[in-house]
Amino acid sequence: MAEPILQFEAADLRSPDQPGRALLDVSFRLEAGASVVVQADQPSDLREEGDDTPPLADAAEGLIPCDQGQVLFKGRDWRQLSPFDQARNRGDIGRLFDFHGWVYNLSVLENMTLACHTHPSGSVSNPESRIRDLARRFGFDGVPPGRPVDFRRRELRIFEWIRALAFRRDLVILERPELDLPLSALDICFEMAQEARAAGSALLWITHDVEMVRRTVQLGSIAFVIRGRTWNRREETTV
Amino acid sequence: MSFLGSIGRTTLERLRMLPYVTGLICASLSLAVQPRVWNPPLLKVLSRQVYYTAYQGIPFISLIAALVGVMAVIQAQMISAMTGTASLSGSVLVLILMRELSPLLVNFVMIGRSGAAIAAEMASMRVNGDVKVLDAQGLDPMIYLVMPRVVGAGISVFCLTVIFVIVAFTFGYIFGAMLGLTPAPSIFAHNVLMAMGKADVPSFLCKTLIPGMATAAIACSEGLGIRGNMTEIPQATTRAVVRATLALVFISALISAVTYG
Repeated sequence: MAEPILQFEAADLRSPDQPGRALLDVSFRLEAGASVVVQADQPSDLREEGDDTPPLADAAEGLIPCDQGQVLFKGRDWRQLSPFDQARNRGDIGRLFDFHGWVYNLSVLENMTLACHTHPSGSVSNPESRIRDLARRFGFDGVPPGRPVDFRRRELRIFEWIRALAFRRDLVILERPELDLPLSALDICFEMAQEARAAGSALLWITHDVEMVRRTVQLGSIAFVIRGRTWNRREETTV
Repeated sequence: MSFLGSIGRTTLERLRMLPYVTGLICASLSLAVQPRVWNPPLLKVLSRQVYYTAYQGIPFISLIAALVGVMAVIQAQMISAMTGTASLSGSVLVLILMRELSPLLVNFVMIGRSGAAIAAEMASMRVNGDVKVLDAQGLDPMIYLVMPRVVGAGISVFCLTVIFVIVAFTFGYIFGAMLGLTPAPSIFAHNVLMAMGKADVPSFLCKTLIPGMATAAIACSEGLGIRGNMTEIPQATTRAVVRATLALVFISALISAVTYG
């Protein structure tokens, strides 16, 4: 069996800022080219306004340590890596953020190329040109100049999708993929996600939306569901 | 807690900051000398810091320097009159301007203009979640946010102080000439150069680079140290300005004592 890109082993996760956002006994593995969708079916008493997604994405990136168990990225526990190696590994992860995904004192284009310039992979010689090409798929003539505050939420969300999927990553985390997107744009995003997967990226989808779970499962994702604080394998027949 | 106890506690709190800030500066410098760390976005952050702190500060610093140069000439004239020297000697201006006043004033301006701005910017980034976004993309906040600001602030204060000294000496000389106090330019320049001792160069470097870097380090640590509440931003900014000012006076006094004491 191939070494998984991402592996959770009986991990208990707790957000340090919001102890209510906890998730217990998480176990799954994600190989290159595979896709996992997590339906965060949390009841309202465990949600907090604007930030009700479980701390799964942060744990997958080693941003929060787990209380119990371990989270392995490319076979190594995040806790065993030096800060420099942690940062380098995070450069191999693309992420569509749940709520806030921009650095507001940089332009949108700078935001989109920041990680690529910091962790050059060699596969993309001109990141700006690659981003322009992908932006044209959504009807944009490149990325307009300006900072995130100069853009509408929907435009930002599209550019966030492009940033997550523009370059070859080992892992792509897509939090609330349905958020702020029209159906037409979402179809293009799904195409891009499938292309990334075909190129070997592992995809981790985290959503509250049942329709989104259904779509990703149709594309071959394995589904899990979080009920309260409990982690379960979802029966695919019920999707 | 008793009055003395509260003084003791405050003093200890201030002293605890010292190794932390020193550590931040040393870590920034050790990162800055590693070529693998530098990439285009980081160079952009550094150049922006120098642009905002040094380049945009030139008009304001020059204005202050010109006025201080005039004041220094007046004071030098009074000292010359007391000591019975006929003309304004360069040594008095070197003593007043170069050794103490210029680095101190430029650092004060830097704290007010850039130290407060850095602290507010860092605190806002923390509150808005920008720091997490950077971290999640593999950009270490220490490398991407702190190091270029610390290095940039040190470079900026040094450059601004050089400009300050040049402008202050020039305007001081012109004002002195209008009052008929200054000798010929070549003699004045010779006097100034002769008045400078061997210790002046390292002292000048230390009094510009170290407090400049300390200001940025304190501002970054105060800004990034908040827990994520909007109301903490002005508090962090005020704390950064107060602590940077204390650090500046402390560092300047220490360097003077070591160099000239």
